[in-house]
Amino acid sequence: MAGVTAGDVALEIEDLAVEYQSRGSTVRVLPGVDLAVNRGEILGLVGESGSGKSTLALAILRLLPANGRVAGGRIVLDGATNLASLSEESLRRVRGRRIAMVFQDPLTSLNPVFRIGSQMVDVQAAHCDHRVRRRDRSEYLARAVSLLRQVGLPDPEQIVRAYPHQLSGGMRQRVVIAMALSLEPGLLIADEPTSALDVTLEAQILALLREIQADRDLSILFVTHDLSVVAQICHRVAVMYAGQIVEQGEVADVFKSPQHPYTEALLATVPSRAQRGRALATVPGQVPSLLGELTGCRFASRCRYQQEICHSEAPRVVNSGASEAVRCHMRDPSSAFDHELVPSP
Amino acid sequence: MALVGTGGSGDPIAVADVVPIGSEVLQARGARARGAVISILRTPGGAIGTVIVAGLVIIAIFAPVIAPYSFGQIDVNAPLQGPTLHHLLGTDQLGRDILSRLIYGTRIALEVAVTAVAVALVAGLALGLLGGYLGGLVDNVVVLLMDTFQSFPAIVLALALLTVLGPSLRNLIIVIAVTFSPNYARTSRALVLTVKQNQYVVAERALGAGRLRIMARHIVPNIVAPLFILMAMDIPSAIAAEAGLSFLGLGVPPPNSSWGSILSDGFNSIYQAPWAVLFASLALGIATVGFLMFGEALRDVLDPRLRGVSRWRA
Amino acid sequence: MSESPGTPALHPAPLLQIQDLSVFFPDGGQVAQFVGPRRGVRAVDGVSLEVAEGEVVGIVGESGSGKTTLALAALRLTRATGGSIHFGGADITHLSGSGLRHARRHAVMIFQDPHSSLSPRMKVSSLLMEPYHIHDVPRGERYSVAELLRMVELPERLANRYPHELSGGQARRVGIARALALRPRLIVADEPTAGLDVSAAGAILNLLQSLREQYGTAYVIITHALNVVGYLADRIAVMYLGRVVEQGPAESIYDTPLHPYTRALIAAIPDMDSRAADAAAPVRGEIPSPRNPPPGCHFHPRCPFAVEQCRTVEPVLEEARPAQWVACHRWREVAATPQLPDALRGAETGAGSG
Repeated sequence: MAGVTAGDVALEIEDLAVEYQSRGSTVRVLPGVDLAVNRGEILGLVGESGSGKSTLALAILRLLPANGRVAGGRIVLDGATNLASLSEESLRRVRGRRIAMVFQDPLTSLNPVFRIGSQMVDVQAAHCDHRVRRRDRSEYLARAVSLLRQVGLPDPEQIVRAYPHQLSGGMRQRVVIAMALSLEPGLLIADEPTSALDVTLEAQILALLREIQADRDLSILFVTHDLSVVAQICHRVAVMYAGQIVEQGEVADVFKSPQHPYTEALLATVPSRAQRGRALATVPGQVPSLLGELTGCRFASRCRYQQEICHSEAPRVVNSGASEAVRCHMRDPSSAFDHELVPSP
Repeated sequence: MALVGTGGSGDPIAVADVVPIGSEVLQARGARARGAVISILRTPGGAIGTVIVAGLVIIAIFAPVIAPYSFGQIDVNAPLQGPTLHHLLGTDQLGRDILSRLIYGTRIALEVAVTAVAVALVAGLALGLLGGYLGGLVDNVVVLLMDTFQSFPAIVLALALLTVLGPSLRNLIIVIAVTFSPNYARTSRALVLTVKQNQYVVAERALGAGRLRIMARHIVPNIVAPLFILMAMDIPSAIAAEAGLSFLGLGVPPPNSSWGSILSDGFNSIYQAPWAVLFASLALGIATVGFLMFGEALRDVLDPRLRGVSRWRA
Repeated sequence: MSESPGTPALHPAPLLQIQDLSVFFPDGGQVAQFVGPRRGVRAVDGVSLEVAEGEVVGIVGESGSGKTTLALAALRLTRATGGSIHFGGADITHLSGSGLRHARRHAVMIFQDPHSSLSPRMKVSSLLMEPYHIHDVPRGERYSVAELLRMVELPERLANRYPHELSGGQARRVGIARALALRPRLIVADEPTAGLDVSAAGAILNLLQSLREQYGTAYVIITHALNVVGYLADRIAVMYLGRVVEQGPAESIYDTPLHPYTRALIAAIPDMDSRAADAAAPVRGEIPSPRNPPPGCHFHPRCPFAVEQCRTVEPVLEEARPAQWVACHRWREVAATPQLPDALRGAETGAGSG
């Protein structure tokens, strides 16, 4: 895909561990995650509820709730800065300016008592190094209008004077995206930005994001539970399950020939007209508890290919097929997995 | 349900979602109740409050056993004495032991306060339920009634009612209940209006449930929790109300020893022997503080949404 | 030749028959209605629909389409302000009391949010038995709690749980089990897979399908996901801003959609197989507020086929193909256009490219 240069990494996450305190016990939601977002690409982070994908996204900018914390690992931005080791003050300068974030619900992302223009000016003013003068504010406002136009909002001069509740959901989401772009960050983290939107609106916002990304050579980490959205917009994809990344690779490759049984199962469960009259594939069982000790592969108990080795030993991460990384015994030629016993699909 | 965190997807990553279904911790009802009690005792405010409330209850129940003397026992030889070995808190103008009178007064205080507030809760709940759920004319009548009662200053209302009914323990309870019930009616009505919109009420209607069934099984159980919390917080007010009315002479007739009447009697001799006033005030103060702390801790545990800044919490 | 939209040609009386149903929510309280002109939200605007015994009808629409309000009104959970509802041949539009309760035995609803439709202080076992208490069903005619849980593939030990102790998928199944208790002839399911993970959603759809095969229940499935409806439904009705814009057999709707909005919805169905890297958004603009719908055809501001007539005259449903009804003045032109015209492509952006 255009813009992806090998070795040019916008964000490198190494061995990231995140814990939550819950009623006296500590839950290690992310045990040690490795992920890289290349410059100029859209990386999809896909997983179901409880997979930890949102936790990962929030941890990058240290926006976890009060009972969560980063317990280890590095988050390296642009090959130079480790976000995990920055002070709160330094991190504040990164937020918005170098990494911006867009959330699911645009209504709660905007302050209801301030006008749009005022909020957009505030974002820019907050990152200004010197005292903000009136001249600066009018400059920021002009920039805000220009950005609103770029995200496809007609009549931006009116919109800057409006309050959030006066705008429709789609317009609000565009405003939020414009705000995210106002400091020209190199990386955008989008946490389920279209999940709350109607289908036709979702298509528009995705098209907008594609366009913005191409125009600015922006890197995007796109978190979602919807595989089809990943198919539409992402270049690469990382599939998460129970706090771990189980498969990673180019979208076309992963979706055409998934290497991990969970990815395979996910892809098979999407209902469609083509499957009328037939039973849909399902994944039996539940996501495992993160409270206890987890041995072996976390997906093993729900995997149709599971063997003894899967329950006792954690699988390594290997290359397999066209996927860059797969966490599975079945794909690891050096593991004790008995390949003779694999049931036919 | 313990939350592990919230995701951008909007739904909380609840521990329940990641804990396997066989977890006993989430299953046993007994565990939930135990958990609530333990939570209350964990906070300093809750612990102190519980101790005080429990202490008061025990004193009230075992009053005849604990009190060294009967509340009416007069000793003409030892009026207005300070604390001595025989009378640990001194005596009043008739030589009655203050400590004993305070102990029996605990009984009256709790009896009146708890009963009055309970009656207020039941009456208020019933009215609020009818008005909130049935709406229309019934609602208008209920609201009018409650507004009327609330527009009188409580003390005026109490005085008027007691004058008409005559002072007695029973009437005291009725009067206090009447002045407290508009609050319960208003609160329960508001709660009913909210709960009425909830999807499960619609679901029950969809199943064909009648109004009575819905009110009894689906509305009331879901609104009582805040009302109980109100009750815990209202008891100290009721105690104070009873004390106040007794102080004015409209409460329990002598020789019954309500804290208020102890205060009232004690005022006459406050310069020679301030003991009655001192200890009765102390008793009132401790009881009020204790119930308040307990009520706040209860509120924090039962309904986290009502949680505010609590000055008692560590 | 059918007389009204959606009726199969040879049929006994339909199980559910909605005729010209309207639901209007006026602004303000009782007094406001008498003072000014009637302002408010016309959530459902003259909808007619039929469901035959054992049939699965999908109602598809986005937010503001009125699909949920339609379902609630059909089950008499919201007051209809116009039109009529017939169930099992009987007119239930204004029915109340025991007559309505009797009807409620046979038409049940499964709600969108699984947790909020279960009374929070009741255990699963009580929730499941409640329909029997409400309708005084003699013990011999009841399913047991265990049987009901088995029907929805839930383990028996969940019977003692409270709703908040269940996962989303489990709560939804409990809702389904409760709906099945009375062996209804019609189940209305509001977004049966909303909020569920993909793996759980598939399981729910499988369950609905197998229940249908076993008991012959009719379904009305309300959803915005055309792919869900494509899997389950026999017939589909597409709604936009309170009106049905197209209706017909599922096959026809998919193969030859005649209304521009239907086409946009189908184009928006995510396609897993091909990289839609260069595809632009299938339709521009946003759904207007139902409070102030555009005059004439509600869809005209977003429609690339719109002409003057569309702005002024409300199109009525006509039978364009056998059993396929569409409300569009220009359906013939739409049918003749093989793919989305360029005007439909490209979001309403002046984005960069101006």
